[in-house]
Amino acid sequence: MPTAAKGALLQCDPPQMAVLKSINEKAGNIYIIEPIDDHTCLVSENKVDEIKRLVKETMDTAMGIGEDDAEEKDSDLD
Amino acid sequence: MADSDVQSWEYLERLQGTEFYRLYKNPTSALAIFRKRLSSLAKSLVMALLYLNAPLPVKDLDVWVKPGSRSEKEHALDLLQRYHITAVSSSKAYTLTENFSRSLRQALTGGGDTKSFGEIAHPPSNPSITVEDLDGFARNQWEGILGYMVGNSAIPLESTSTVVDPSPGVIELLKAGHLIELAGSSRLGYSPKITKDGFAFVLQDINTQVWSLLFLYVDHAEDFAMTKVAVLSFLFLISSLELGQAYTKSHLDADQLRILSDLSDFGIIYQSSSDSLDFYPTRLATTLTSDSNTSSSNNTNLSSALTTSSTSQAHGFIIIETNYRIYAYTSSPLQTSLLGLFTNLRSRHPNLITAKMTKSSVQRAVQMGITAEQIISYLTSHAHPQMRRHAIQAASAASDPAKAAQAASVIPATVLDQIHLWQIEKDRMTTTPGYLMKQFGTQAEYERYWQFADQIGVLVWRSDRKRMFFVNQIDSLRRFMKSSRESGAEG
Repeated sequence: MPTAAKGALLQCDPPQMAVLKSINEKAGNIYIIEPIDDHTCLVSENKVDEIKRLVKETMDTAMGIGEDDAEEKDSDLD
Repeated sequence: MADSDVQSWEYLERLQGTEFYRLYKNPTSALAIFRKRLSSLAKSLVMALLYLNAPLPVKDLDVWVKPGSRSEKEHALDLLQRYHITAVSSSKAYTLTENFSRSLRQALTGGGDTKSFGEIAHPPSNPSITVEDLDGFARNQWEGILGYMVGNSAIPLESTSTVVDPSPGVIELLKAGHLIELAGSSRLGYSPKITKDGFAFVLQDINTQVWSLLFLYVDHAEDFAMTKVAVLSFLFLISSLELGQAYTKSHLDADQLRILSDLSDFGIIYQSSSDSLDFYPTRLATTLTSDSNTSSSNNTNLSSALTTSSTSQAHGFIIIETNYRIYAYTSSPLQTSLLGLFTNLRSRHPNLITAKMTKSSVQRAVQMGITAEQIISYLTSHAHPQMRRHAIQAASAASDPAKAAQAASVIPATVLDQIHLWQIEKDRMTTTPGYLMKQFGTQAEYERYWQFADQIGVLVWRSDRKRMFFVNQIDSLRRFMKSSRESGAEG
């Protein structure tokens, strides 16, 4: 008997999924409804914005933001 | 999608069956839905069913459609079902719903209540109004709204066209739709701050913009003690009027007069004052429900009609070089602000703006919620004729078809790719709301259902290994699963 689960399908790359999984574990499994594989999982629809923000924050701190701002300088100003 | 965000036609599909029932009492509504929302096959099916006395058995309908076009058929039937145009009887046969068929017949053959298509004023109270005047009015109003949203005031510019500030009602509506937020205090005055949804809104084509705003309006109609259906029917009526004609207000009720004055704030209709005896629909109104298959050409007509004053060329003023530099031949403050959303503006001349797209400017835009596709479609639709000519030449010069297709894109391929790459770098996560279907008993069952979902265009993702798939809409699939389970039980 097929069943339907309501939620939002989240697709991303494996590093982000790893980050998301660790956030989810620390928060007591409130985000992920069903982990599917390294690229996909089902999450609560009303938590999507929160998840995006948390994952981005974690990734940014891990990588160190602002390191690549210097290259924006335009060499050939006219 | 969060529900009160930018509205689209899906909004209409969420109406109740009874609301459709009342909506279809008006011939104009039935005609508008028929023209605007149905695919070609759905239209042919409706035309075939329109004068049929007895219901058409499902099996007979299957014979009409070639096996190769099954997915188009499922899609068409799904559309008809969603708009409550067809009903399936218990004996497995299709009929058109009664109100819809009566109204559409009346719309096609005339007769009945003639006022349903508006009443022309004889003679018009002000015969000197021309189509150009109407275009000018619509343009000023609409650019006023968009300009207000992107904050014209931030870029002071001497401009020949007068900038119209939108009325308080429009501002209220933009705020209610979360397209802008107001910052400031009542003493110092409020200044608009555009939101994510607002950015997505301003980069869309005009017809989509107008409808988004109108659906917002419909959604908030109940706040002004009007019913959604009354407002929608009246909008469809307005959309069926003819450009350049004056229509009398004599038979309109108080609610409809109120809608008229709001529509005049949008630039959709023109009236010299709120107590004048007649009104004129503008081009914004008459293209509202133009045929879905030709809407792209209508859009270019529309936007060209609406941009003639601000630029010397009717449309197409942007030149993009492969080094991400942009030259835009425009003096319109609105277009300048729009370009400024995703480029770094460099210099401004009387009729020319130079800008450059950089990683940070595109990512800034992505951060604000603009997608790479929106940027690309904006650039493509406003590309200078010279860019188009160049693309066509490059395409015809290329010998092998794959290369020709690549060269045919108006924007240089390197720029296209780079915009996408910049976006992916910043936004690597996509989410789609919907339903995950799982625990299928057999492989055959799983395949039958995902293939159906694919055919009606709701399939987002599937995994054969896990025997799961994801859909963004479930109603039709649920019906299909139910009916195939029943027929499975019989046989």
